[in-house]
Amino acid sequence: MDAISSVLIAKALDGLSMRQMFSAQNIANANTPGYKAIEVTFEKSLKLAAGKGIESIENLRPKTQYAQTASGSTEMRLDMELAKASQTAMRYGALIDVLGRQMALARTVVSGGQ
Amino acid sequence: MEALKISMTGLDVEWQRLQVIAQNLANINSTRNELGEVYRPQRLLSGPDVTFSTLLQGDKAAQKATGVRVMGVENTPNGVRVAFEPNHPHADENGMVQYPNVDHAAEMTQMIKASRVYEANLTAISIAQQMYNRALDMGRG
Repeated sequence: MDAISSVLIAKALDGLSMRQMFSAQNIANANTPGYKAIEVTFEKSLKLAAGKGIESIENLRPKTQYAQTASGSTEMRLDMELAKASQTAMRYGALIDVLGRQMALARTVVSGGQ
Repeated sequence: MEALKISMTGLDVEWQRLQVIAQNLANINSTRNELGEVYRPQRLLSGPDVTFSTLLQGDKAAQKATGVRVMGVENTPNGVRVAFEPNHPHADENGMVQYPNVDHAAEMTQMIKASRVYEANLTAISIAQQMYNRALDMGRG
């Protein structure tokens, strides 16, 4: 089993839970006039770091920035935020699944396949 | 702050907003309050919960997840309208009575908006809960 993949999954889980936190923040401020939505990005830099090895994955920090919609405005959309939140939860669940499968493999190895 | 706590601050603020709107609607005909003045419609002001020390850090500080908080409850401008009702016990010498200038339609709109945002916060809480539940499942199957 690859040591890098569990580190990678753990980092992605961190990023996703941070994204969830900022989704909650954006939704909580839905009635704040002039509020600018904040988004968390880490996927691209995680992909780059994965090519460089475990250490650069571990040093990676997710980035926060003001979100921009396709039309270029920074105004927040409640529906989009909720969709993003549920997407984040889905991805989080998928990663947990992958991690669980890895652990099941390790368990099989330890028990000698019995 | 974690997602659940942030959504809870959102629930709290919208709840208080609903209370202020309900207060305005309930007092739509209140010509006197406990101070003997006409009731003035109020508006709840809210914004991201940023402390002074984080505010000093400038734009970067605005990008912290700290939830939302009530900034205050203020009287709306043009809060009084007068009507000619000489037989009203609260009429002045010219027969004019001061009424709160509650904009009924605007209050209802605000109320629907607040309740929608309240629901959105509840949904965010249940999504966060799903995530926590999945995390608890880790290594179980």
